[in-house]
Amino acid sequence: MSRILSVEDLNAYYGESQILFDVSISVEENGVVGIFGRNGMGKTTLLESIVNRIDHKTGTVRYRDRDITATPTHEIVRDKIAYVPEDREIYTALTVRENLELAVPKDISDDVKEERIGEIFDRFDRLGERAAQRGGTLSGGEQQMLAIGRALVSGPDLLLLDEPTEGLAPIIVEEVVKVLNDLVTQNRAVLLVEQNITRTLPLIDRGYIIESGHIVENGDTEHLSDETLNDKYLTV
Amino acid sequence: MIGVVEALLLTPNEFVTYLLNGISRGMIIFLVASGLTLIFGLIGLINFAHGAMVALGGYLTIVTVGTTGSFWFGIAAGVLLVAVLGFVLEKTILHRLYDEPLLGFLGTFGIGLVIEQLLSFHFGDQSRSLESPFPGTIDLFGVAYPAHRIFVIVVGVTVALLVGALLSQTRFGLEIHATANKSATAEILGVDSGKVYTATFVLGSAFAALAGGLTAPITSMSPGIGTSYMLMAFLVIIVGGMGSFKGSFLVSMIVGQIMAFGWLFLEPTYVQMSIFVAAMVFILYKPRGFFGKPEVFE
Repeated sequence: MSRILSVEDLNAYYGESQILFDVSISVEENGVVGIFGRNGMGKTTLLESIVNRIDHKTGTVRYRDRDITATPTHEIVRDKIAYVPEDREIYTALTVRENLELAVPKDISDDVKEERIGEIFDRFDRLGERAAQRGGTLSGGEQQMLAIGRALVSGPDLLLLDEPTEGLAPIIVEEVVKVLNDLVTQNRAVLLVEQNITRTLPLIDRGYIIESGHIVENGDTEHLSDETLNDKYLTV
Repeated sequence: MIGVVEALLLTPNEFVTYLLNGISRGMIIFLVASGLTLIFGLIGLINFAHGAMVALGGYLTIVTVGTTGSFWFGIAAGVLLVAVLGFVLEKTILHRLYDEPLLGFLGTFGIGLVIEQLLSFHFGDQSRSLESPFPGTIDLFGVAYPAHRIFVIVVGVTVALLVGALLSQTRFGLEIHATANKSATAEILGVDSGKVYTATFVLGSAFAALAGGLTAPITSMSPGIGTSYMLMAFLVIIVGGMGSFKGSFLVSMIVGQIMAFGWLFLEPTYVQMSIFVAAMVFILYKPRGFFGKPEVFE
């Protein structure tokens, strides 16, 4: 299957500190790939590098057949890559609807825009009920739904999700996992960063384990379900 | 200046005249402050060249009116040329200074000085005036009031309504909000934050020129005229709340009225001093101003 995303020999830095070391990963068209690792291992930096939110980096990021390593973030997003950051980055003073409207591509007609926002409200009915509420008044779980909805409303071919269950109450985590389950069965590629491999394995086709900025393991779900890997790289 | 007793015994006609004076004065302050509000409040850049742009807009209007004989063409030329200057400055210099407040201050201060000195060099330091396209008076609530001042009030209200609609009803308004609060987040939603910054700066520059062109028939133009407006405009945007258009409008109106009625009791200098002292006390108790609020990312 052809690749939608290829990251080759990526090194990323925050100031003088190197965070990623020769990282190479790929995602196939409609494939679902997981990135696992403990806190501070470079998972978020990897996603931020893909969408060019990190200036200081070397290596290559390819989207389909195009080098997007130095492409401005907004252009990458307009090319149908959507990114849901770990801290959600909801505009708290804007309403739920305005947050969604902002993410709808400009060149889309009003009818299609309404249709897409309607689909998000159908999928996340609590967002629909709170459409006129400010983002800052939502609970953590609802904000996560809004962040995911905001990514989906742009109509992405590749979805980058950074720890979507992080910091949520267990009951909300179940809800988010249900949403993710639904997302990964659609015709869309997903790169999913998570700490909890057990919960995530059923969602993905294959994955990578990252340790101190190096890819140390990769393989299918059977390989990644090995308890020794979990103990070595993922247990705190 | 008249005595307190006389001031309290204003006739209804005198009261309306002072009220309209306050509104038109407030509207001029608002027009200057509106551009600053956009640039300072939303981009975060303290544009010390804004006053010079007001003067430049005024002079360009005067020169164009002198050449073409049309006030409207003069206003359009002033607004357009200053907007183009704003575009060039933003694209070449200013966008590099957004993350460096001190350099932003020095850069815009320097640009303002250059514009003022060029105006002074070309036109001399003597003030110039312009004939209004509305020279007569209009009867308003039984008072014969200068038509040009009423025109300024109408333009000010129109600008306030249009910009209010632009910020609250349009996609561009959403993009300005998003970029101003966190440009990195706006980028992951497909917003070209660089373009939003440029467009905002150009719009702010255009408002400066509009203020200069509109006030040219009321106040004589001199190269340094913008500086006198700037102090009051800064006060307005700080007390109104950073980046709040309605705050700027409200405080401009309040300041305009204080100036109009204050001059009944005190010398103009003391009225201005009192306004600044009152603003300082207000800011101590309400540091974010009337409508300023933080955007919190969660």
